[in-house]
Amino acid sequence: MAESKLLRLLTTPFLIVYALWAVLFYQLAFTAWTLEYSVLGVLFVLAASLAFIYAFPRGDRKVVIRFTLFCVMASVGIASFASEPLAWRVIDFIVFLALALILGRFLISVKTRRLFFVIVAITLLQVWVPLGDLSTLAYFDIRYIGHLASPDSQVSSLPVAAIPDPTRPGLQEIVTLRGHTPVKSEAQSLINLANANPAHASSILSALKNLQRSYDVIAIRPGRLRLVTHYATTGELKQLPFSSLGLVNFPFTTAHFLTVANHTRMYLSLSASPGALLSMLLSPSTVATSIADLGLQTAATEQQNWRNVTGHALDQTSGLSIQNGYLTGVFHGAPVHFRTSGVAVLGVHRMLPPSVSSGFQAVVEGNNTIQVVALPPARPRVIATLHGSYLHPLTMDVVFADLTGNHQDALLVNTVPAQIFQLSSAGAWQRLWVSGRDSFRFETAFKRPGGDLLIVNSPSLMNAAKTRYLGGYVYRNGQLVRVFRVYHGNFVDLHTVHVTSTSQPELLTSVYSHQEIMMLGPQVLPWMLLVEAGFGLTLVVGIVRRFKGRRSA
Amino acid sequence: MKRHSLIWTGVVLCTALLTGCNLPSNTTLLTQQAVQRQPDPTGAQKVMAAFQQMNDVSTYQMKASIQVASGRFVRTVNFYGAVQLPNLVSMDETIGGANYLVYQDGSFAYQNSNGKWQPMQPITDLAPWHSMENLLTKDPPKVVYKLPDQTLVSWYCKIYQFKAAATGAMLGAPGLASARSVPHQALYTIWVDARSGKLRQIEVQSTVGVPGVGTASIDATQLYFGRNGTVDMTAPSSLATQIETP
Repeated sequence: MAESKLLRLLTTPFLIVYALWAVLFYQLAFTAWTLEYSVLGVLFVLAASLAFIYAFPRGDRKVVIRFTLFCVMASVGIASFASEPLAWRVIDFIVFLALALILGRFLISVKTRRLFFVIVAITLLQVWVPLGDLSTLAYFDIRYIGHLASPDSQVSSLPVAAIPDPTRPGLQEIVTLRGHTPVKSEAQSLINLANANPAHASSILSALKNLQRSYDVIAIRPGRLRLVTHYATTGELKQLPFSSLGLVNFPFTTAHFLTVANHTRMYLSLSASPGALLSMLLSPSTVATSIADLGLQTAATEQQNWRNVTGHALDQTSGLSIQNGYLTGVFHGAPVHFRTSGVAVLGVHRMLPPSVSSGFQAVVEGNNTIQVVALPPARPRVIATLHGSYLHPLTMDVVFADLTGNHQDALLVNTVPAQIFQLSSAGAWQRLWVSGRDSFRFETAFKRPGGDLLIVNSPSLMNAAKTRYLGGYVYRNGQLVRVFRVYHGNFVDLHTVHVTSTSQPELLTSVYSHQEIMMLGPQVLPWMLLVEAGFGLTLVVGIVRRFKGRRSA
Repeated sequence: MKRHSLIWTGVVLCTALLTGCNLPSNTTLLTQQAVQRQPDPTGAQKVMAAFQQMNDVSTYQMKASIQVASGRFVRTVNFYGAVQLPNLVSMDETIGGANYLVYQDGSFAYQNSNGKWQPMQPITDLAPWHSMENLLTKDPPKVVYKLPDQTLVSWYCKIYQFKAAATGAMLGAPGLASARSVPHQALYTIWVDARSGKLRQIEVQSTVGVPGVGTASIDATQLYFGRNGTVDMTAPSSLATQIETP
């Protein structure tokens, strides 16, 4: 008697665990197989489903299959209204719950009360992690998801950046934008502010004009329980170059920054009017120059805006900057002043093999070229140049990574197709790898002793579609060897950061067209393994029941 | 024997499955794109002839884009609309997900942004081939290449490519940027209808080094169609409403 009561009490928790497993398995295994292996993946799914169905004895099949499908369908149903405004979400949820329970009552021989708890559990799972983001659990734990809705459809993805956290030495904090929601009487307080500060009146009034379309610049750092948001101070922002946040829709929109009541704000304006752009286009012999000029102007204006607000004077990389055509600064105590065609410093790295030189080089980018410049103690000189063409332009879209762990960095270039270059000696570029797919992209790299883990966005193996998914690879014997795949297709602007841990790298990313940012960290629990073990366990339970049933019959 | 071959097939399949997830280096895309282009001594004349053939055009429709790639992103402006020479335009424009409209009838020129129409400077020359003709006469390219033929939409086209100066009126304040980083040249690709010898598409590619941003690569493509067809070019109703409503 007591035993059956205990069993009854445990049924609901068991059903909840099973439902969550079913949802996770569908997202992590079935979806992944189909996306990566296309038709073959569908065959895997069919095979796994058949194995699942026939593992259970005939009597159990009806309830097991119907309940499993119910859970998966409920999860997709709930996800379908996750992006709605709160009021609609609540209304839709209530309607959905009623319909799902009525359906469940007739189709599944599980008590309605229990189904109710199951749906609530699936909903809570999705409040914690949206269904579309569950796929990241294949390799990462989700450290932070920020829904930072912006008022402007012009911003397709929010820019993200990381800066040293002033309160926690050695660790970083996240800087990003959040759509500004005007509060009551904000307009009046801005008017008062403008009249009180005649010197800044014009910038305050333009903030007023763009109130509905402006963004707050915010910083995010770990609090006691979770990551918390605060308005970024100008002291924090001073460490960033304008290009970290200002290049939304560059060069077609210009970002304006201003400080209102100690909060830094951004708003966007068109760099050229629609009519001006059309007039540029209709003169093909000058359009390249007009757009180039638009780019130069926009960048100069934004740089000035950023400098005025944050006091950030120079874009410096390891103490080096480019001024008036010279690479200048101090490196390891020695002054550097070297004429270069570069316009931006990509980084300071060890580009030569250790057998040739163990010194550092500056890598600078000019108009469609990348130059490697020797740094002190060596005499500053250009030791190698890489040229792009109009068909394969070299933008700043490059990643540096130590492929083999010998302290020599390779240049991972996102041309179409993406390529890996390494210097075998001064002046001699060696092309180590070329992608066979044109949509393949290198994003960032995690430092590892035996060779860095390359974080990429790559298309699936057996599908001609260009859709990219997150992946991790290491370079071995001329191949990229797969370490992990996460079937999330919308990650852009990926950065390797150290926000919660100095030793283990985390991945900071913006989600395209979702106005959401995410931070992914190393896993505590191996979710993928657990979910796969769950599938095996379910099969075993089914077979055991089948075996028992046959013996008793 | 049979069993032996079965085992071997199994081994091969397993290795394929195991290594199948790795990405070997594959240079086919690179070599493919090293376009098989050949110098065409009469190319310049053919391109010029295509531009001159456009002189009898009175109306045309256009689908165009300006793409700028810098850093990790490619940003695009899309155009779609109709032109009636010499001075009528009705054009849809998409800049980063937001829609704009341009309407011009002679010296009456308006643009729509954020749902409001505002007067603008009328565009003077609406025939893009004029600017190309000028370029070819003033600064003829040294070599014109012929690319493999291609079907563009439904037209069989011959394709010519050349590098030439990207000169012209500079916008805004000169001296703002160092002269060095402004492109001196651009790569022009011209699609000429193989049957009628008329101009179908122009693509302009170039790059610029922007301080603090690095290289921005520029690609402007415009496709012409619906030549001398009939298009409704009356003013958009929202513009008329905005003007007429007190």
